[in-house]
Amino acid sequence: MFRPAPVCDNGGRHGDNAGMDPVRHSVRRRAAVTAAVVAYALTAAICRPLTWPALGAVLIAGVPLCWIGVRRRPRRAEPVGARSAAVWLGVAGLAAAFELSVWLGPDDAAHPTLSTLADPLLSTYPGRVVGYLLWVSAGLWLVSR
Amino acid sequence: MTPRAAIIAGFAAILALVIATDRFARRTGSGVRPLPATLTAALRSPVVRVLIFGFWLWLGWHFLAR
Repeated sequence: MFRPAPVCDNGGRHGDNAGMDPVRHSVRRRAAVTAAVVAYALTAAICRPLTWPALGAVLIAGVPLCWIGVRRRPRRAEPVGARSAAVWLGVAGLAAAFELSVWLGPDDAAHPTLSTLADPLLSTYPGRVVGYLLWVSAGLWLVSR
Repeated sequence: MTPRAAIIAGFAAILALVIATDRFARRTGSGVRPLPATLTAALRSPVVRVLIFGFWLWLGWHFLAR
């Protein structure tokens, strides 16, 4: 028996992505997010540190991501044991204590903190692009958790 | 060794410790979970979530804007 071919075989779904393969949709979405992050980093890095535009560039991405990340329901995760928590808290505590000891020490070029060491890199445009890329990528990763 | 070189070596040693601990945690049978898994589990607590996002925002301000 003859059956007319469907005009649009989208499984009853509607919208711009109707009928799109989920894998392909995921790849396109990831590409769009990556392009947005790169565009943001290239634009934000134009702003030199210690200026109002630089503060605006950080806040314009940071505040919405914080808002979404804090309000979002956390991803389901296996609980970690006390041993893991102790090990990673120990490493974080060691790093914080080292940075604090340098920060409380003499304030000169011979005793640089982490941000003092990063300053020459972040004073250049390519360095700031890398800095913004790392920072926003970390924020997006946190939001996805 | 100058104080500056010692401090840079200290930061490098801490970074190496983080990488080594994470690699150790990824070995089968390890009692320690890798850093991303530990962070993901920690982010289930609303208080920790606020603290970590606040720290992340502060990092952006401190390194890129201040």
